[in-house]
Amino acid sequence: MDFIRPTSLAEALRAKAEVPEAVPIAGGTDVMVELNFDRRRPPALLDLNAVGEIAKWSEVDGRIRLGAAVPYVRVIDELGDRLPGLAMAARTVGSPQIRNRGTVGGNLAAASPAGDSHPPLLASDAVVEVASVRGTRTIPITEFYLGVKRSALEPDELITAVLLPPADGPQQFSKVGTRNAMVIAVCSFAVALHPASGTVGTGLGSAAPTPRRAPEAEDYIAGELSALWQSPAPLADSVLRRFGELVGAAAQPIDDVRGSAAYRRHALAVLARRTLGWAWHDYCEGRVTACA
Amino acid sequence: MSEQGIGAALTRVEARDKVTGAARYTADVVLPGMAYAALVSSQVSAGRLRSLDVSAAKAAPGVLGVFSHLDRPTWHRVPAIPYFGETRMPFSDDRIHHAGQHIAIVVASTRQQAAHAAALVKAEYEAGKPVPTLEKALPSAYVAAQGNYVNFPQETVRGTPEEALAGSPVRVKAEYRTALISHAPIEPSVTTATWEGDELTLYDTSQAVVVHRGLVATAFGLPEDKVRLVCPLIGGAFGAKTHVWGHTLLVALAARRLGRPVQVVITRKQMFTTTGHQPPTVQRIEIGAERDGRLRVITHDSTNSTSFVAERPENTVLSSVATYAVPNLRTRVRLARMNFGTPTAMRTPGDGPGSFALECALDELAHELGADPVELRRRNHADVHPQSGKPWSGKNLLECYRIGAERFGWHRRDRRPGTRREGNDLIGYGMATARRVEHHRAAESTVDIRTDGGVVVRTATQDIGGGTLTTMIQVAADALGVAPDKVTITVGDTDLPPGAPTFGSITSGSNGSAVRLAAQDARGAAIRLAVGDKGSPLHGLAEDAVDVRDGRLFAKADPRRGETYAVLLTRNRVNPLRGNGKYSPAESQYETSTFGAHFTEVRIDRDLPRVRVVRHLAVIDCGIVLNTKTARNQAQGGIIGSIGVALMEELRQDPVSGRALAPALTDYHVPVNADIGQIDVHFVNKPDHNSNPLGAKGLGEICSIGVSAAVANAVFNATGRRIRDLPITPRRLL
Repeated sequence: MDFIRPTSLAEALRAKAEVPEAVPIAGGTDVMVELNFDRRRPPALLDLNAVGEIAKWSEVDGRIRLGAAVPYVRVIDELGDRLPGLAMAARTVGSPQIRNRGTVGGNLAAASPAGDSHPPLLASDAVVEVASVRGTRTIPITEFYLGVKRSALEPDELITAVLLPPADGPQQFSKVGTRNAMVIAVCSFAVALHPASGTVGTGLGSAAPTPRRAPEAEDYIAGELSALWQSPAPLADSVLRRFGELVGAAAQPIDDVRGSAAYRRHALAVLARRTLGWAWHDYCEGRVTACA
Repeated sequence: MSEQGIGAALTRVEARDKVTGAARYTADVVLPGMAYAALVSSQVSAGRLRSLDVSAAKAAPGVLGVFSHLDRPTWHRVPAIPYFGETRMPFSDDRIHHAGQHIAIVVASTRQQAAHAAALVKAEYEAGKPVPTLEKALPSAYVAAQGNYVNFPQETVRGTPEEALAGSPVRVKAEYRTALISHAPIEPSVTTATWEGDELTLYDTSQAVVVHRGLVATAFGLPEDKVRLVCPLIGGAFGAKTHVWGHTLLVALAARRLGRPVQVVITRKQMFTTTGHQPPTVQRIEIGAERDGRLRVITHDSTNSTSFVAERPENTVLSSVATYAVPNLRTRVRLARMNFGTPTAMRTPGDGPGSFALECALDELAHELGADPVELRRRNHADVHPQSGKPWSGKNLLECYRIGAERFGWHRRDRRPGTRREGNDLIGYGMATARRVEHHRAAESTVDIRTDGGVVVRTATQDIGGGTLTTMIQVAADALGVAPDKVTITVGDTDLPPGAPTFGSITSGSNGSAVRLAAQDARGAAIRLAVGDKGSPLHGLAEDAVDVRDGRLFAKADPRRGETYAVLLTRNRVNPLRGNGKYSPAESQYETSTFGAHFTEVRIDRDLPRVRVVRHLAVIDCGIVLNTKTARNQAQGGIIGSIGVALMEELRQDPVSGRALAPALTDYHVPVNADIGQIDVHFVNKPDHNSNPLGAKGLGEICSIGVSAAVANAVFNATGRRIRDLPITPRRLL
């Protein structure tokens, strides 16, 4: 196995073009597990740790441009106010050591349906920025996931950043695991309220072959909220439940060692109901961003 | 607490080394010229090896040798079992009995080269049809004949159980299941073997260096004194290192063939498949009682899986035999063979799964009767051993109930299930009794007093994380009359006086007694030396007129008159002054056990419904407590482990092949900090001198027994749902 260590993005893209089978590695929190379990034996690893361009975040044209190699710990420490949903999800990733190393870019590249970043990225209409020697393009998050651990990334492309609008309303994230930390999600759910557009974003994790949104639930709740944005009032329990049911119905989960399909569907409905309740409560209280 | 050590809340002596990384474990052993081994595992769970192509592995960089059944290893004979895991020696033939079975060992210059070459070994199988699970094995369950592991009565009858059942006004009957669970210690098993001529030294993660030496010697046909086992520190075991497993013998074999030291650190996956597990059980219990709650009869029928190369029944039924005063009883244990690795002792063998079934059944009876579960247990207290009729050496179980109920606030429990709520949470209380036979084993120790006043304890026991190094120092310090910080200890080496195994809760009582006897011997010799020495201020005194404190011998009648051990020994040029201690458990008129009571509060999110143990109290009666700090720590660890057993631990199997679906810590979950609520441990702390001279009994196992039942009973109290299968996952509660 070769180990390629570029020191610039241009160099990294050239290397990826030359050896498309090279597996990019940043924090290594997914890749090293796969290697350790002998699930893959790539001919080369492409170490992105010396590529400075993708290890920082900035604000560009009103959006947060989060470099692919920014670790979760920085999302939590530095972006909790602007990306509260993503920061909440980041807090549930692994252990402190994993959060020091793991990255949102890596989570996207692995494209596991259980990845913790996906639901908040979906809920807030993130855009994935990818690059190759051929140039740079952006992929809307809903078009990024193609299948279990498959994404729209071309073999010569690297993820360089993810672009997200700062929260314009309360966001929430919740996850069920078989224990309270160091755990892969049995299922997870993110919700983002967008008062300006009168819409609600959702994201479901460990619920289907790919992370996905629940469009019917989004449409339903946008309709229910349309009259309430200007004069917020508590939501009826029946509305929250209906929202939960629609989220549950959007899931296509499987049975595996972590949980059954039936349990996942049920739990997603509960998470959706609760997170929406919390987010709407925050909105009613005038809190734009949740206390993440 | 004595002034000189016993009971003091000392920080464990190796704590600093452990947290700074200075502690040396078996994998830290590096010998000159040492090579590294990797074990190749069978991919199928039944059948035979049609062919094994090791040519690519042999040609790989750095490879020094590859061995398999094709090399026809000549074992001297199968070691006496128990404590050797299996009846089949590794590489004996081409048969496959379980997935993960060692089929080859590859030795190379580096660990990485060995792992790489191991992946190049090509096996072709003639796959057989496996018996994949206990469920599939049940139809062929059988009662094993006595022998080997089958060392307790497989069937017990007391009184007339059928008649008693028929005449019982109240009956409960249920089937309980416990899961296939794994020890999952942090430190995997490690062996380093080195030969000098016909002398073998093994650095091995062993819970019993003395016992294991004999087994290894038998396998290689060597006299015991030609084998040395060394085990510096163990990073957790819970039973996984109770037995000698195949890797230890294979590494010794490879080292002999290659003429150089060889080390293997088995993989995490191999920890799940080749060093034992607690087998799943199916237990049927029926209880007949009077309306006032007095037990008339218990029947307890238990089946556990075992492998095709070992018969190992779990003594689950002892819970029913030995816990309560019940005049009629029938128990039976059956084995059912499946194509999985061999089961072994795992905290807590027998009583762990057995108490789950019995203590849940008692809770069901209490509910049926509308009785308080604590009161029901009090009413059926066994004043003498219910099977043998012998008195207990020491038993304070009633006090455990009383203290526990009071400290826990048991009176706040609502007998009507599902009635206490707070927000989304359902709240429930549950309790269970704990009882464990106190095992004894011969043990020896020496205690040396040196001319500088320092003391050295030498005994071939081992510290598996429970605090043994510290408690043995405290025992010696107490008996000698010196401060514990003057005492150092050396353990884990068969060159030392033979100590006790660190399993079966044996260490504190048996090895502690040996250390105490040795220290008393040294103290007595020092006093005799002083009173017979004209140069001593104590000259001429009767021996019993002398006491020792803080390393100074003095006249009881005139404490100013005296001298230190150091001065006495220096003047007499005795260095060291050695005391010998040999503890030999004798036939006893008593039944010796440890006892306890567990009380637990669960909160269950009624929608999700995940169970959280927010509060747990254990009241434990294990004789005198040698060190309240390490004991509390050990008990909390045991309770946390059992909360894992209750709520999450299960090594799930493929229903067709029987293979473990996810033999890795990523999916075999044990509790993390965020799962653990308040855990309170209270010790009755009364010495049991009928048990052994020290009056201390084992703690490692008793603290775990009954926890899973207390949790399940609390879940019932919270929800009205009786979950009889472990673990209690949200899926089962939905």
